[in-house]
Amino acid sequence: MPCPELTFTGLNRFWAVREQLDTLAYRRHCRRIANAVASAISAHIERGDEVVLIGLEGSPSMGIRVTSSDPGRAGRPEWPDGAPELSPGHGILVDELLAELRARGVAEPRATGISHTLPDYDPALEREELAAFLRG
Amino acid sequence: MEGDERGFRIAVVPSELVNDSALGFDILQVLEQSGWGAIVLPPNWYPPELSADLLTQIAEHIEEFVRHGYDVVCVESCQTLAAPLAELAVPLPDTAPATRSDELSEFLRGRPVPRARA
Repeated sequence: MPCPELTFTGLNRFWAVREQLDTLAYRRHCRRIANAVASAISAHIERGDEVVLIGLEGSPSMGIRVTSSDPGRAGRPEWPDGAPELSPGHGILVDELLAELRARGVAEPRATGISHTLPDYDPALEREELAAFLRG
Repeated sequence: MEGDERGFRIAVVPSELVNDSALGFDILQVLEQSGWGAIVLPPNWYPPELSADLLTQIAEHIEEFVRHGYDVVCVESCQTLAAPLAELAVPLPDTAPATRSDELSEFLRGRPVPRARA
């Protein structure tokens, strides 16, 4: 999937939480991406392919089960990296993609997220879990 | 930016070379072993309007990568990107040959260090 943050705030962006990105303009940007991705998902389903959604856990945009949230975060970026902002929920692009699929009557695909930005990330375990997920 | 080299070297690859075994070798494996990331172009069978939307978005990614000194190459051909890149005043990236895996590896390893990493 295209990266919504890369084409909105650029490669040199600071890490951010949902509340910092959740604006009308960013939602509009995500809906533009979600529309194309939903069309691609529909095209694959129509020809009989199985489609799964793989997001990026902890991302304010791409999180599947874990996103980042902190209503008070603003100003000079002096906060430490870490877990306090991690919170359950979808990222903004995933919100918009699932809404677009619902609007088209397309079943929500099975979904999981890569968790390399989360604490206690274990690459070997994640590889096993991803393989198991793809096997269904 | 933290140090995964694939973040600074991007190969744009036609879907057919990734998904249809057209090459006889695993192109993603060659790219990974050479330290390159990949963007896969829409497959030829996508409806034209969908392909156009996706190509526009891919071109916007490439513009950002190029502007920040990443090395971007097209594997075999990415002529479908010519128009969307031209709209952004971005030249078509250099072409990497991929008729054989060793030919592709040699080309990628011979690229200069990306400006973003220098």
